[in-house]
Amino acid sequence: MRYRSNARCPRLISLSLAAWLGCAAGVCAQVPQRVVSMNLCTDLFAMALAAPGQLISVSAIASDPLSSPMAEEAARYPANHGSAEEIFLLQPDLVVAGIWSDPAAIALLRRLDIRVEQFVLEDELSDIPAQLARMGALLGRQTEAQTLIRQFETDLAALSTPPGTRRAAFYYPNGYTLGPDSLADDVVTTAGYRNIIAELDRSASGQLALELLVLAAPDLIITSQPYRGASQAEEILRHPALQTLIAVGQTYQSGPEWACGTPAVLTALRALRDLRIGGAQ
Amino acid sequence: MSLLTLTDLTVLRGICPVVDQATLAVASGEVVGLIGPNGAGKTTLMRAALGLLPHGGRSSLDDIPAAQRARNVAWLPQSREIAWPVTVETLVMLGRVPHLSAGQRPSDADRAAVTEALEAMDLITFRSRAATELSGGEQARVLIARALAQQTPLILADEPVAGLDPGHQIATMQAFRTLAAEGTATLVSLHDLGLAARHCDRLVLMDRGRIVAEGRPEFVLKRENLRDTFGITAHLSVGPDGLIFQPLETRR
Amino acid sequence: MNRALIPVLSSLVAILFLVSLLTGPAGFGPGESLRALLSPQSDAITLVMREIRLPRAILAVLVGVSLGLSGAALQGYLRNPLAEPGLIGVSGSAALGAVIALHSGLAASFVLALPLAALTGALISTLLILALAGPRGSSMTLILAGIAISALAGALLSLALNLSPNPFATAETVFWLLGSLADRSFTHVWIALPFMALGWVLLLSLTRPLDALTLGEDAAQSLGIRVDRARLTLIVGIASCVGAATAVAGAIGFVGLVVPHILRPIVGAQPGRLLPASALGGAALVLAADIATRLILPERDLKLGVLMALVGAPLFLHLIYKTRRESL
Repeated sequence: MRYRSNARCPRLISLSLAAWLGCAAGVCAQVPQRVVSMNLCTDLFAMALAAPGQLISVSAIASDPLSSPMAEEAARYPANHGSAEEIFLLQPDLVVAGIWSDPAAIALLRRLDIRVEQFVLEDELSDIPAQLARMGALLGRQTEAQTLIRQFETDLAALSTPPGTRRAAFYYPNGYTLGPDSLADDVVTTAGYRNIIAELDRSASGQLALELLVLAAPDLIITSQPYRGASQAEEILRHPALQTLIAVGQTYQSGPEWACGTPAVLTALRALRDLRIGGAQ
Repeated sequence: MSLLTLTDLTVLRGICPVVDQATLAVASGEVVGLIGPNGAGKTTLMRAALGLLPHGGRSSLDDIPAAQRARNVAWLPQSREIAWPVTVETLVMLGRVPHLSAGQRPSDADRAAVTEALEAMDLITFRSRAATELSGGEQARVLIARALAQQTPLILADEPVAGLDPGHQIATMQAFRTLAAEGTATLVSLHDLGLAARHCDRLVLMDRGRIVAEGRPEFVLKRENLRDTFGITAHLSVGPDGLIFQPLETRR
Repeated sequence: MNRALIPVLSSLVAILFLVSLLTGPAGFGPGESLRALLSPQSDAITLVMREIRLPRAILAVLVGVSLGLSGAALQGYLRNPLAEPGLIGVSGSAALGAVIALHSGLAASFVLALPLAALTGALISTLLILALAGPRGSSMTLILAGIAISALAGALLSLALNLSPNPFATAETVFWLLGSLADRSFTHVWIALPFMALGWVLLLSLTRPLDALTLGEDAAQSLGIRVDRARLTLIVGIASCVGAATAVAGAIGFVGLVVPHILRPIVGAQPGRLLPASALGGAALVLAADIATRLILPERDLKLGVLMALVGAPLFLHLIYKTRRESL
């Protein structure tokens, strides 16, 4: 959905008038009424917590079903591509972004006196409540945030298992694996698996040689859904050695619910736990 | 017995006839000299006779398959290409290619033919040297040796002695004569009319694509032909061992 | 020295093949590796040896033979020591064909579409080069035509990758233009082998024609060599060899330049004898380079083409310097 600036103009005028009048009357609205999100993760949090009409734009990638767990919902919002000009024209009173979002765009928005709040990507499930709380505070939706947090913590406790004997490995295009510095690693450990990367004396995500993966012989290999068109990067996922490993063990395709630390990640957690129980039988 | 018969051989470049209805025959045991000014069409005639150029008229070599033709006639082109620094012996051995079937290694007979050719061209001392390191004249002799090693009944040579010193020029022509005595037929194009007069049985004079005279050297090299075709005057006399010919002055 | 060349090169290839099998990030010993390879077990080491290291080593030999042979044949025909399929744009065009087949989805529906498309790309550029360079490939024309074709192929390749629906595509340019044997499998071996075998047969049949061409096309024809047939055999042979090699390993350059150059003095400069020697030499060179990529900077995925260029480009400059005295 594209933003049509012309249609918004009259509304803009009446809203600004109301805000000014409200401010002038001493009942200044602290809660932002026009929130723009320019990062997938903040999109997801904002969509979950915002009041109707409060969120006016999300990033384009939020409506990509391969990358976003809330693609259908996101499609209902106008999309932005993270450019300062685009966002400025929306006249937001709050912009939420990730810590790695385009620094040039964010600096420009701040120079134009627009408030930008940046969120760090969490690398542990236990950080998610804090993120929810912060977003709730920013949007003036603390109650709703608390509900979600309570739900999340209950579900998480129910699904958590201490690591057992089953071992898992991440193997993505280009032979990329994830280490203890990633959220995905936390998900997999909470589901009761051990990440083989610890056995290999590595602490960071990065490329893993196929040989080492084969030798480690994990019980579960987590890989990604292939994109359209072929690529050399994804070719390694079809390597006979990897396929043999998968045939002997289990495989799981990490989908959009793994993106960012949102409560949606519990779906993944549930699926992994079921796999582990199923695999152990 | 005629080893090469050309009947009305014609080569066109566009609409211009570079060789115009040439008819000639070269018999076994003959050394025939092909003479004429630059651009007369000598090289073109020889290449067309060999089937290297499309032509009208007929050459007796036309219908023979390439492999058989290579055993019948050796061609020594004017451009003296030696692409790689192979040894002289290797290069001369290439003359034996038509006699070797696919994958066959050279036999003693082949090596003997090569040695004979090297001796005839006074190259025995050079046999293991890289051909590209030799002087221009020496390289020319190597290429002639290659044609000799082919041991064909017919040899076509385009300016084989250009750039050689007098001794080696004469030696080359004498080598052709020796082969003629054994039955080989040779058609050789020459610029040196003195050599042609002295060592050829017959001369064929070409001018602007046409054969304008043919026959014994003293007949072909008469004053009118020299004046009309080459624009020169010359001294022609019979010496003790053969004709003596020396161009004197230009005359047009 | 001449007679010993082929046996010596064969032994070298065999030794390097063995070393390649024993090289890799997984640190098990040679005894274990070889036992795993030969015995019919089904544990992890066997899997690594049989499905990862063995196809990689085999492919290195196949690619090396194909590229060495192509380089020697092309140089023999054009009578020019600077001619090389990578330099004159044949590898680049083959890579373009491969990329189009892969990213249009054609290769997914018909597995042989990949090598065939690469072969077609190689064929088109070889025809173009031979048409431009003329009967005797003068260095100037050859190199200029090669630059133009390489540049065009590279640009079209990047464009094709940019237009791909796959987000990983753009990063692939490096693989296609530099080449790599990492993580290849037997699938790649089976795709490439038939086309390479055809190419080898065709190019090795040119032994005598190339020898005769030392005297030039006219004289060669008069020796009974069918020069036009040789030209066609050369074109199809090179397209087959280079196309198949590029389809599975990307464009690897300089092999066909370095190997014939080193071996030429040993075979007495005879182009016919250079063919089998370059085939084995090429295999040895690619094996050695592939081993080196795994020993130098193993975590950084050094591309094969980088090492080739580091060795080959200075040699190319040296050759240009040496031949600049001759008429270009």
